[in-house]
Amino acid sequence: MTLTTIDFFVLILYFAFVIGIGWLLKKKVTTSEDFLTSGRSLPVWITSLAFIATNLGAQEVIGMCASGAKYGIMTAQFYWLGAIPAMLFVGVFMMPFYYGSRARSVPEYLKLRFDEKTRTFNAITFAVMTVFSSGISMYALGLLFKLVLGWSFTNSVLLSAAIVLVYTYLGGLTSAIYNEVLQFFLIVLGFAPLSILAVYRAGGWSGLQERLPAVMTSTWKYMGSASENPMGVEWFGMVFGLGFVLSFGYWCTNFLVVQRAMAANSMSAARRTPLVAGFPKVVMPLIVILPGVAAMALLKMDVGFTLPMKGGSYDYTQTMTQLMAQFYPSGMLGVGLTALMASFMSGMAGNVTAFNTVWTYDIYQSHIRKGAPDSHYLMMGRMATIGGTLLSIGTAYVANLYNNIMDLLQLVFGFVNAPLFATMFLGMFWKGATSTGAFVGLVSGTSAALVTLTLTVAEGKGGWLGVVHEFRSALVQSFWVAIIAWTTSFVVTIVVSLLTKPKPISELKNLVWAATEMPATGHEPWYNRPGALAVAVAVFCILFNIVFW
Amino acid sequence: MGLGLILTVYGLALPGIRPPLTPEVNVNLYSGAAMALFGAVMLVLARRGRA
Repeated sequence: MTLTTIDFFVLILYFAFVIGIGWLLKKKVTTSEDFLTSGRSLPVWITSLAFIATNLGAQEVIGMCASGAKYGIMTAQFYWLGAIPAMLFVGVFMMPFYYGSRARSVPEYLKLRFDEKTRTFNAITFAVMTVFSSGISMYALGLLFKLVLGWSFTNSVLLSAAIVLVYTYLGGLTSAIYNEVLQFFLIVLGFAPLSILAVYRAGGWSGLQERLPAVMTSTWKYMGSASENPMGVEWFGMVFGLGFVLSFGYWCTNFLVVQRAMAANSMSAARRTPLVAGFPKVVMPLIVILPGVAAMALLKMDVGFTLPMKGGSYDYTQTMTQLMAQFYPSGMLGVGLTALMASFMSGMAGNVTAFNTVWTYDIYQSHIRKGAPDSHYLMMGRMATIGGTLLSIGTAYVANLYNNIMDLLQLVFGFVNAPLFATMFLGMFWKGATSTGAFVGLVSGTSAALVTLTLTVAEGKGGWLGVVHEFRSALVQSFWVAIIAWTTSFVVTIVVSLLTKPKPISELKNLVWAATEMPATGHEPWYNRPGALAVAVAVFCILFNIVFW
Repeated sequence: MGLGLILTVYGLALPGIRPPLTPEVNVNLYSGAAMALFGAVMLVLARRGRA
């Protein structure tokens, strides 16, 4: 792929914009809360777009397009089943506790609800996860730009890291969030034309259905058994593994996304953040997955579309970039590549800002230096931004040496987020959940995930202590690791809680269902009422499922 | 909107620059126009919101 002057111009314009946003916001940052939590000042349309943009990293964009090519439109279940129900749940039921408790982070909520050790366990596992995730993002960017553009791995990694560091160091979370909104629009405007062109060239949706096996253009029909579809998943694993445990574990407890809602300027805005985000989230498969499906149809037509081979099959990870190279002229190619760069950077910045908040408040302030003046924590937040970025760069280089680290990351999400959701769910909705129960449950769930991973194999990976079971695919393995982790955490938390003493209800105000007055919204118009908005998103999502049945 | 205008002008100034798989479509012109329109709508909504 060769870039021309206008392509570079678009890229440089984007870099100037994101740094400019950071620069303009610098003077508004005067306290650690301004830097790390945006001072809870942002309107709902900003926080809702940031909510999905921070998750829309380039691994997702490239990965979803690749999965669309490999598995078909069934990949959309990662959005419709794997995100929407959990987003609705967190907005309607969990945000009153996150926001109402005045916690500055998810680990801090755990401290208020349970105790310091539960908070610390989550803070450490989360911090490690975000650094890994950010580093993997940089690694994937470096690899892609080396492969597609011939840029050096080091230059790609350092350039993207430097730009993210500048705007997050200057403007903190607010800068990251505003840039995520910019990045969202860039991603949509950069990739939507590709989807339209690819599907148009393949003969429209009916053309795809004619040229591809029926399983590639259906979301639910071939989920009766794992052997019926290329993903190797049946409906139970999909609904409970992806749709419940992994999905709720991520969208309801991962501070990376929850932080965006917690930055909103009111309780109503915080609750509506994931709900408003639900509308564009439902449509995203048409932008990122559909081009991959169309690519497979184009390969069967004699139109000149090609995809490189790798190990005897198509190199699906190159689907998005090959579509861009063959459908976009210079000019729009610059926009597409900038959108790809933007998606990498939004994922990276999201992880860095979540890391620096958890480090500063949940680890440094709680255990290393308590009671310092706020200016000290503001300085620490900035230092943590630099430190987090440097650690991410290091992780990117480690990933370059040992590329199976990406497989490990996929599973880390399962054994950090899945048991945490059980802890959060019980903590928020059962006043009888005790601090001891929560801690033992969380550690047990995490351990159960690790044990499952070391005793099972999928696609030749795992089973380091022995092989008790072999899964059909790595995807199915990750579902079952998450199901086992969640179930263990849930059961152990309940059993231990019943044997230990809970906190008195007087200490649980705004932390648990029985001690919290839900905000009244009956007088609001429907679009300001979380319940009504959730129903609207659910209906919208169900319609898409019906259309693509 | 600015990016849309740049692409639209580029598409008008150099209409011969076409992608290999859809040579009948001036992608820069149409995408640029769509982006510029979208940007204009956002600008109007933002100004109304502030008013």
